Amino acid sequence: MSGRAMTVLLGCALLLGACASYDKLVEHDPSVGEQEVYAAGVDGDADEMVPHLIYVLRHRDEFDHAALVAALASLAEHPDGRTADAVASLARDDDEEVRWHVALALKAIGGELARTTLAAMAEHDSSELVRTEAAS
Amino acid sequence: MALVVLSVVCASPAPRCQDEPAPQSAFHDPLLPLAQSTDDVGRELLTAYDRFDAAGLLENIATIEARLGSEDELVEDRYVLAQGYVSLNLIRRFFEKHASDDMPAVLEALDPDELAELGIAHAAVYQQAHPKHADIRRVHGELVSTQIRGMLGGMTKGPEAKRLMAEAKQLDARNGWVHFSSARMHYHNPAFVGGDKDLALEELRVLQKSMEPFRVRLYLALTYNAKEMYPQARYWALKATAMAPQNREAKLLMAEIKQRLAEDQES
Repeated sequence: MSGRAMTVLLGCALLLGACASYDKLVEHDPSVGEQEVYAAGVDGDADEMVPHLIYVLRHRDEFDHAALVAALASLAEHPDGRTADAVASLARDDDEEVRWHVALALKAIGGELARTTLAAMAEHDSSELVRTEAAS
Repeated sequence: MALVVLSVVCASPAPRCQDEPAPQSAFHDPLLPLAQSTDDVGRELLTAYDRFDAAGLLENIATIEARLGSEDELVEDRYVLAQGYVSLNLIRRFFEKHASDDMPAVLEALDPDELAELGIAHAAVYQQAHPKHADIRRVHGELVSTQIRGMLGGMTKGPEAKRLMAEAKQLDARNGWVHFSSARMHYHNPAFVGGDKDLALEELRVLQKSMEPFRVRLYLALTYNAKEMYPQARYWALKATAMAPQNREAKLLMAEIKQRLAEDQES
């Protein structure tokens, strides 16, 4: 087999791996990990991925904590107004890491709900890190 | 052809054995009881890496070494000293790699291999007096791993460091620093000698549920950064700098992450 054919084969194998991660998220598979969620949100087609990212945000207990953070982080990089409600619903989560990423995502998403939620977080959050992020 | 096959093998994460125990969720930090049983000089020495205080480290090492063999010697002095030499070598290595022009004069004059040997000598004495002590083997292993330089160093010192870590793990599987060392190895090593950043991240995430000292925060930030997951990298870099604002490694990383995020936004 030529080197070129091997390269094509390798490319196909990598593509199949990426598709498998995407399918897991589309199927709302709770075993989906943080890197898969993040990659799907950042590399995937926004229109298709948003409902699945919202599912992860709305079903916090079904997914690993890091996967939830990954969904928020991917929204901070590729914001979508449709996710504002789901993101804002996590503004009073028990976990500081989640709330910090909520603030980051809301700043990127923008809009009235994001602004009021950020203002409340900047004033009342128990963590200085979160207050600073929400206020900046 | 051979090159392509090699690249496929290297790109694949190292498979884990089926009989390998699942990652533990409850680790403990043996340096916490150590900090309680030593004195103020020892405590300062144990936190000097976080503060990136090479001059203070050397001063405290000299103070403790001066009391060895006298009635002032504390039981844990050799253990504290060995840990101090690990920190000193980590700081020296950072300057050597990333900021050689800024290397403090006190560090420039020191040979990293000699520093490691001095630490190993203390570890060996402590190990002889406390043969069942798990963490001293981990410290010994870290000192040996700081002697690894290039491929040849990896081939000679790598197996020795690995053996010491395995012994430490066998004596205490819940030692968080042994688990951390494994994550650090997976982070730093190239793939063909077991490096695997996905596994490093997984290990750090498991560890962080039980303990979150500065170095765990820093390596979470480093690993997320290496995986180009910049929002998460920034969170952990902020957590690291909040804990140790003077640490040069964390500051440099934070600057790098900010630059990457700005580039991402521009593109």
